[in-house]
Amino acid sequence: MPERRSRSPGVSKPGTCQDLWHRRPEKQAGPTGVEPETLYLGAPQSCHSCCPEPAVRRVPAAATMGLELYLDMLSQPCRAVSIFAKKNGIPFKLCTTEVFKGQHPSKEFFQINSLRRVPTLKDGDFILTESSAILIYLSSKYQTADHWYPSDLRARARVHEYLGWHADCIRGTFGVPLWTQVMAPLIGVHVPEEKVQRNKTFMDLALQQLEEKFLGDRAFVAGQQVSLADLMALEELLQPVAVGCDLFEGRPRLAAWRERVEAFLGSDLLQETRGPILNILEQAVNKKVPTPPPEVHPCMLLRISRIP
Amino acid sequence: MGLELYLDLLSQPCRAVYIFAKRNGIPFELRPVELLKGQHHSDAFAQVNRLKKVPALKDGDFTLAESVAILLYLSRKYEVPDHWYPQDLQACARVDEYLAWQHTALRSSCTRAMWQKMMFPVFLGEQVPPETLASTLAELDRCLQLLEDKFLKDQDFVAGPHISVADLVAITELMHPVSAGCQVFKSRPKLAAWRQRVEAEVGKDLFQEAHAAVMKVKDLPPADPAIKEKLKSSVQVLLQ
Repeated sequence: MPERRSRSPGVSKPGTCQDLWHRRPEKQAGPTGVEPETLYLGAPQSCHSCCPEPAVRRVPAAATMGLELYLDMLSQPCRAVSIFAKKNGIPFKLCTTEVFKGQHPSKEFFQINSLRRVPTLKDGDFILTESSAILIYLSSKYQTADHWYPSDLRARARVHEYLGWHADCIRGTFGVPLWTQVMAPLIGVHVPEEKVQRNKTFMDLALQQLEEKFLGDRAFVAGQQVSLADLMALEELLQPVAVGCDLFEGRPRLAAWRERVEAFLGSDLLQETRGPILNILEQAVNKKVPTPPPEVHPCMLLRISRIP
Repeated sequence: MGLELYLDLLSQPCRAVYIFAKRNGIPFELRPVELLKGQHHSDAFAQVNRLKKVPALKDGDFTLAESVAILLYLSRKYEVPDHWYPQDLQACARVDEYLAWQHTALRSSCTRAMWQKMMFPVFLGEQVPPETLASTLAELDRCLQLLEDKFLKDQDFVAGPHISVADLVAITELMHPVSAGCQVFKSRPKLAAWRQRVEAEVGKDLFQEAHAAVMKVKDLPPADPAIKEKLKSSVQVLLQ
């Protein structure tokens, strides 16, 4: 694991950042006059505050032919897909797509997915959206351990049963606190307190059902072993936690489930994946989150308007 | 006791399960659960599905909720023809993709369109603000465009060249606003042609039978006060 640079602000000369990922690319024209080795994926990610100029991510050419996953780590379903792939040693090229952080979606991404949805999978010519579809595809293609997506008829049905309920009651609901506390204020929108309270009620009800109907006295939400369902659930529940709503407080059964899943996945993997979301509130408070560009405002406003 | 399916054909996902089971000759006992009478809140039904929703399945001692889970369970258990839920990795992924998308997109706008245009004013006697209805219909329109552009494209069916569970889920959703008088197919020839193909595959009689109840909802008398009270709190969310 490369040593992390400290994030202390400071003056540093361009090109002096030692971090491999933050070197400026050297122009190398290939046969078509285009750099063969570097794939530009969205606008460059901002470097640490030590580098005054943005850097680009170099990607070895060989990796461009395999599996590509377009992910934004602020997104719950993206984290679930990332964790699953990494935990299972599935080789993929990470194409970071930070839709709201002042980054323009790249032309490449737009061509791949005109809706600019994340997560998106690209496997050769095959493009797939929707996290549950991606997870199922990856588990089948890479023949991951059975517990992730059991072959047993009833056990598999339980995973789908969870995923169906998740789409209704978890998805869309647990993302709201991030929107009300961080994303909406970024574009000057205040979400009424009434909606914030209503969302808390929906979350409470969902958590109750999660505990009683799905977890029950089982170790995991769809059975006695970790499955795709647990990944989807946990990353959603983490979203409000990242902005200070501790859902697990006063819910020992849920907290125990969370510990079990996280112990299984491993803290290094989780820390790596959750870095951005866990930092977002602090960044927002310190006004370090870039203002989203005007072109993403309409879809942000649409999302905000859908908060019941 | 064999397979039991707890259904109310007023519900879109129930219709999809019903059509699928009948079309594939899957033997089952139909257990009607009348939503408009609040029967899904009964203690007896809670034994079948603690979430108190339809459709629900009971197969011996095994109970199962959620329409997609039920459709996939039935397709595997009864070894239906492959095209309904293909074994092929990528073909299957296309079906999964549609089933996931529709759940958080089309389902919501179809339910709201039907309730706001018809159920609230006609059955519950509650007026819906015109701007709410307009916004819902705009959202429905947006979803229909996505259905055409992202899924159907120039294919015969939503997930590929053959009919699958995705088509059943889609068509039963679209019939919801149709039952409320929304002209979903009129201005969309691509969708209308797809509908014809789905109906032909399913069988016109079965299709009509599955939709008989919902197509008659506009003729229902207004709900009596007891029913209104029972339903009111659970349907308020459909006004947002």
